[in-house]
Amino acid sequence: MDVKATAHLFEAFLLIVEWGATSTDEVVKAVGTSSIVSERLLGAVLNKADEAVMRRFEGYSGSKLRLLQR
Amino acid sequence: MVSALPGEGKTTVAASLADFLARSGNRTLLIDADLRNPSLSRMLGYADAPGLLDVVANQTPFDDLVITDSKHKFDFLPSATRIKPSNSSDILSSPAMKQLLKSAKE
Repeated sequence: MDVKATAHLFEAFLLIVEWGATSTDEVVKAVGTSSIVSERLLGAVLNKADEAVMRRFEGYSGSKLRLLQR
Repeated sequence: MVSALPGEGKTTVAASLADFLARSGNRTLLIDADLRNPSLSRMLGYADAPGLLDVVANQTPFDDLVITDSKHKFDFLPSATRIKPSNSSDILSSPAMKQLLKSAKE
């Protein structure tokens, strides 16, 4: 979309991912479409997270959290 | 802000982050660059205000259109799409856009 045409204008990107709605594949694919975006990606925000569920996973490694994504 | 799908929350996160950065003492400018669906401009109450499109397509001076609203500590440039352009990618990748970002840094 607009991102590929304009990515070169921006120094950094932040990826927003909706908890439980977006699959890992979709995220990887989206970031992969622009090499500029993937190079300049600072990180991601996991949005609309279920805080009660998140609290249960406090102290565990990131791999447990990935199981929660479709 | 990018996301894989629409509706993941870029608008909300962008506004929240701008607010946080500005309140932390950083000089912050938030730009709604979504010419097709200006949800950020709508959320902040500037759906009909002139903005990015006027600066890039009509050469309206950037300084004239940046909004300093006492409600927020950050400055804001709306998208300005009273007329939805069909070539938003062209507009966003134009030299005028590069110039806008350059002036914004100063």
